[in-house]
Amino acid sequence: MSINYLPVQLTIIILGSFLLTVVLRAAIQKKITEHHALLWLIPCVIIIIGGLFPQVTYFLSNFFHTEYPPAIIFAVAIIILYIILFQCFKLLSILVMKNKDLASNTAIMEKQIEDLQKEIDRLKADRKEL
Amino acid sequence: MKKETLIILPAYNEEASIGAFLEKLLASDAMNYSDILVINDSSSDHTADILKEKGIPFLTHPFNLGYGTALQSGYKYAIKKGYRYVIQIDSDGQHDVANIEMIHHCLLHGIAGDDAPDLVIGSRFLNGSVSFKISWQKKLAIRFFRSVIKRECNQDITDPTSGLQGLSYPVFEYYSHFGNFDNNYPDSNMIIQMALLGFRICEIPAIMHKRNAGQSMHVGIIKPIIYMLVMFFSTINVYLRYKNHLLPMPDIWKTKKL
Repeated sequence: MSINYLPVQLTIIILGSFLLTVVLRAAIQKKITEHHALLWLIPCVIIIIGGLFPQVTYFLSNFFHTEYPPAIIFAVAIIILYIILFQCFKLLSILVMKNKDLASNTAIMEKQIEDLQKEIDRLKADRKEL
Repeated sequence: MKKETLIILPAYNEEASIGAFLEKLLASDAMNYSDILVINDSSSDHTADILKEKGIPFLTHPFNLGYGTALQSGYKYAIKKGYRYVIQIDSDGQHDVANIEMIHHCLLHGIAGDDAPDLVIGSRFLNGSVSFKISWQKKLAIRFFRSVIKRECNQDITDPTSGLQGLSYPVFEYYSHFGNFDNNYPDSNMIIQMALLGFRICEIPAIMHKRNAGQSMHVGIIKPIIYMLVMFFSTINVYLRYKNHLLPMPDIWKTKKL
């Protein structure tokens, strides 16, 4: 008896399309930059292709001599998530450094404002004495 | 007359020791040629109150940014105010006030007829130094980074992890730029960076005391291990950046010597 893969294929295609819509919507609404959206769009396209052509999974499974074909899907998912997570950490590190720099500059500016205020007060006092 | 040296003291929760140390500093001869700036790294104790009470100039970070960023704030401030030299010293009383005079003299005149250096390090291991007993982990780290500097820069720096330093304008001007200074672990990696860039570094014997209050940045077992790993990685990175011409050239070199 042959197995009917159509419901699974349809579910994957719908899910992929839904994720694609969510990412595109966020990009249009400027809630994510185009650069970062691309990182999520590529996996969405891969999901849809996987749903449309399940043979690709079997082909890759044979190519890598994998006994359990879904393992290929898990491997691809882990690699994609790893890349996305690494990009996030890269961005996080840059933002931490920039945040520290900004905070440091703010503290110096506050000190300068304070010094200037003291100078103004001193000049005002001198003027009154005159 | 405007003073040309700024003494910077990063401080984080130092209420137990900073008051006594500042009193010693204010009573020292260093006040004849230096101004003070304490960088309060958003202390949650009464450090800021003590500074206000004593009338010490200080700036406060909006939130805790770490030792490296506190130093960098000091460098930036020195640039804005037009100082020619910066002396950085710990506010917990570990570094004796007498070191300032020696560092200042070395920054201005050099040692034994040599040219005035760009960077002066207060060392715990030179003849004439007075220091407390340091842990074997720290000794191991110092020995390791000393050999790395000797190998890569052909300079014998006996105490590359010392926080007691005197910096001339080109050095703190370079450090003040975004990305030129390690905000997390400014240690032997920065010494190697400056030596590779051609800055003249020299050491003088320093007097250091064991801290009476507060806690060191590298306590426990995990923190020193993380420190060693990060420092090792950071040192390799500095070297590779230099070899691949990724280290920005100091502005002063572009117009001046070398």
